Amino acid sequence: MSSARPPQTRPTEMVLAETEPATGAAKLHREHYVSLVRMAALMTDSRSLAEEIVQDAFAEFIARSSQVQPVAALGYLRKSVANRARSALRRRRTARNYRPSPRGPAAAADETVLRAAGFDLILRAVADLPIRQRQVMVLRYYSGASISETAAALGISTAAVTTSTHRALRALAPLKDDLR
Amino acid sequence: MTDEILIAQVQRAFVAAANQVHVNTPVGVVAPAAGGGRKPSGRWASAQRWSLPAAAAAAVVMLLATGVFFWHQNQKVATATQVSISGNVADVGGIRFPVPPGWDVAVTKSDANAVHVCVAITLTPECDGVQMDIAVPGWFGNTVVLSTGTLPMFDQCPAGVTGGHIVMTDDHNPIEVAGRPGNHYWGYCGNSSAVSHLWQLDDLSLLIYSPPGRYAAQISAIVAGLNLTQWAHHQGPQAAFFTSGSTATPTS
Repeated sequence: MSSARPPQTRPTEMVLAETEPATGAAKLHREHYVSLVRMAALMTDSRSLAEEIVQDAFAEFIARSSQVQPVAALGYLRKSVANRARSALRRRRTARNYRPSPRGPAAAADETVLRAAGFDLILRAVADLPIRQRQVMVLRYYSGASISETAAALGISTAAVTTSTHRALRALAPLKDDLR
Repeated sequence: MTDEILIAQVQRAFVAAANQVHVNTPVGVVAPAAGGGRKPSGRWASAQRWSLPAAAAAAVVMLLATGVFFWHQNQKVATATQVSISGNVADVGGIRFPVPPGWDVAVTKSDANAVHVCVAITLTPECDGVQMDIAVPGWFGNTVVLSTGTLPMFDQCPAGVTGGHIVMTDDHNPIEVAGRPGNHYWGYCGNSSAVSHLWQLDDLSLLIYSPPGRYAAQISAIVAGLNLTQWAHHQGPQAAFFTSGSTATPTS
């Protein structure tokens, strides 16, 4: 991902295999890796970036697994993925603002996540939401996280989750006629 | 549209978009191999891992060795059958000898072990002239012995005539043939029959012979001018032995 992240010298799956008996990290990886990648992809529009984010999240989780309660493990991973996705989106938007192209940024080859057939309009609208609102929408309506889980994952209050959800839905409301 | 409907639409859109994301799951953890058996470990696993490449490498080496062998064989025979004549000196696979004036030289037969050369006025498969049997050098010039099946030609007696076959050698045998240990035989069928000559190297790698009663002068000249310094066939151990001598002189 970024050059600032600590170097990862061993493949995550190898570390997972070694730590499985103690932490259940391999079980988490097996059961939630795909859904976490898809969640990150919905937040970042990039499959490869999403995979990198989730791999880094697992690496961090393994490094700190002794400090994480098993029941909180998935929440920890969601929070880590959300934070990394937000950082990635911020960097990307900053880069876009300084890009000299008069026609705007060109989509990367794998940035086709939000283009599922029949949902272009709504997905494009979600992509245009502020980062926080977009993450709330993905966590609530893709990952099925509750308000409190979403709040925990994003490090915000439950009220902020409710407000963000409300604002996001208001932003999407003009699509009602098109979606009808 | 109420919020519930909009939310449902958003959920469907998210699911549809997420399904477009094909994730490369790490095989070792997320998708264990079917059967789930324990992976072999240690030396046995290493042996299994390398057995296929090792077998493939061995097959390649065998193919290469076979190819090199046949290539080398072909090269040897090709070299041994090369004939060139410069002035009155012929070169057959490195064996050089004078060619009688008006005579010609050709390889009339060859296989992987021997080359048959005819030196004659008119070249024919039967070869009415001086003939040579030359062993094809082995690997790196190693010695090869000609089949002694060549020697019965030295039987001078016509079919049905027995008891008069005489083979003589020079008293001062063994001699040198072109600097290598050799022998000169001459023989006839009874006292009055025509004489034929045979020179050979003691390692049985080269035979030079003439038909009964003919070309004695030419074969002597050829043997006298024989030069083996460029021949790839190294001198081998003695394979033919002097048995008796005679002071008799060949009459023709």
